[in-house]
Amino acid sequence: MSSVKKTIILLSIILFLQSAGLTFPETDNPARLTYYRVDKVKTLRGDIADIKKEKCFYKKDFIVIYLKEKKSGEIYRLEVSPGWFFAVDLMKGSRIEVTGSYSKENNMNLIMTRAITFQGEVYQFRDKNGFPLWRGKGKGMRQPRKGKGRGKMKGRGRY
Amino acid sequence: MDRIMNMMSKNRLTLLFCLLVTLTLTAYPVPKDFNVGINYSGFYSDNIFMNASKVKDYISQLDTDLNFSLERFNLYLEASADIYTDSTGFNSFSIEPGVEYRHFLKGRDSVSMGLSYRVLNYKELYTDFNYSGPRFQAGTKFYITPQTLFKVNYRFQSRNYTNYESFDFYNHTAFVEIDRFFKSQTSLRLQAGFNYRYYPHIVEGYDFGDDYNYYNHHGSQGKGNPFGGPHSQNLEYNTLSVPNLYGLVQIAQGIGTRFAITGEAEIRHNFQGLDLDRAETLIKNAYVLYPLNDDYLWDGSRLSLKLNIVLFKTLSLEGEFSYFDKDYPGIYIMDAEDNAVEPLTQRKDSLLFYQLKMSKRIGKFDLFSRLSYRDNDSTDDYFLYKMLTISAGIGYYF
Repeated sequence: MSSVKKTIILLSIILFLQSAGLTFPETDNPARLTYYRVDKVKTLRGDIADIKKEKCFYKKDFIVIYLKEKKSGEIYRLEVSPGWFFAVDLMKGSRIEVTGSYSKENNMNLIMTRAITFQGEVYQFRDKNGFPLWRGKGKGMRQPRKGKGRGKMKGRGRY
Repeated sequence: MDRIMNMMSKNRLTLLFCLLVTLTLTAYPVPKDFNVGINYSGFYSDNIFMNASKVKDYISQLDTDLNFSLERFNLYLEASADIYTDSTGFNSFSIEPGVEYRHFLKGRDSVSMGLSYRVLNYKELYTDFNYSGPRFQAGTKFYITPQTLFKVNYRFQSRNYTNYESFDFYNHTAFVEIDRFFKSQTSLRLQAGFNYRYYPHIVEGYDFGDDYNYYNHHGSQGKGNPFGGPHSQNLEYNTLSVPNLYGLVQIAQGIGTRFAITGEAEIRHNFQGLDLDRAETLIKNAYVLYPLNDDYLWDGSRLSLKLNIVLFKTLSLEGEFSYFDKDYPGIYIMDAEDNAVEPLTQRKDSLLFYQLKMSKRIGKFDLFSRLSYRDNDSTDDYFLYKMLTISAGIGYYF
């Protein structure tokens, strides 16, 4: 197969997947083609070993959590959301349950985080297809999201 | 039940309109930095004014907001309509354009600011309460240690009531907060705040007899007159300030990840009692239109207990019980003609509040339902009431 044909086929696949709604977040390492895979979704529990703000998907202020899994004791790197969307004040030692798409690269367990459950509340960061809920959505100042993702059902106080 | 169904049928048109807008918008792709949200909430209450009048109604609330996000800024436009089924004179529409800014400092420390301008207009009887004005807020967050968070926040609000200038006010609120997390999965929060409300020009010599319609137990159809109506004589302007200090302690205990129990205690104190002659504006402002927004008036204490549970991974349930012990310094019991009852007796309330809330996200839809009940005991018979509220809503973001 000629290189031209290969290129055309590859481009076609990329275009098809993009049109199907799959997202290809940019990464620091161009060789790493990371995307949210619904067939790799897993849920795990553990304690937060560290929370950092790191460059991720070309975004400077991305929240990354290092989680020590309860059963295995292994460390997972949770790529969560831009800092401004991260409305919950999680701290070191917090016990959380995380659901997201799992992958393993360079011996590091990676989770693209869809939701975090902490102290009886769910905080959502992506929809079930992995689409980020922070796209085009404010700076999180007007209404604490408290796990409702982009939704902000106000339920005005008067009633 | 028939009554509720009847009320709901009147809102079918509203619902259909909402659905139509939703379907139309979903038919078009939305740029990634532009976001549109639509919410519909329905509320049934057996006592919408939270007093002895026991006026029932079903309220439809439609909200929409448009957001355009840049790297650190967000521009937004919010619009909201409250539609009452029976008390249609209370229907209102509000619009609020604004801008938000958030900047990260070292680590997760951040500084944020927001500026907006809100305009609210009522349809008929309550036009005295139409207002417009700016809102500003600024806040910072600093992680002193990986398990200790320090927050400072300031909010300013100014309202200009064009039809009734005595209601005009400036409000300053500031608080400092420390959150500490312990390995036992216990969170401790200490917060201290200051609220200062200032009324720059309260009109004295106002005779409410003929034309104040919003206080509900008169029901006159006349329009409020900012300069005192037919019986007004010599106008005098007074100012009034209400400084209020509060402190709050919250302890939350997580049990596993899906269950938590939270206890909270709050104490409020007004630095000065209000002068009765100057309090009328406050009373009407706070109790008639903002019965739950009277934080700057009462002092006393609140105790709350909250349970949070997550079921089936994504269904959030919340149960809450609160007890309020409220004193209203300087506000005395009045009769139906708004004359202070002799001997002067200060208003004092104790409120029991129960609430059950359920929320879930399904795809791009946010759903919630809520059941709440209030039982208020008061030295003022007008504020002896019980109130049941059932509400549910759905939101969609594109």
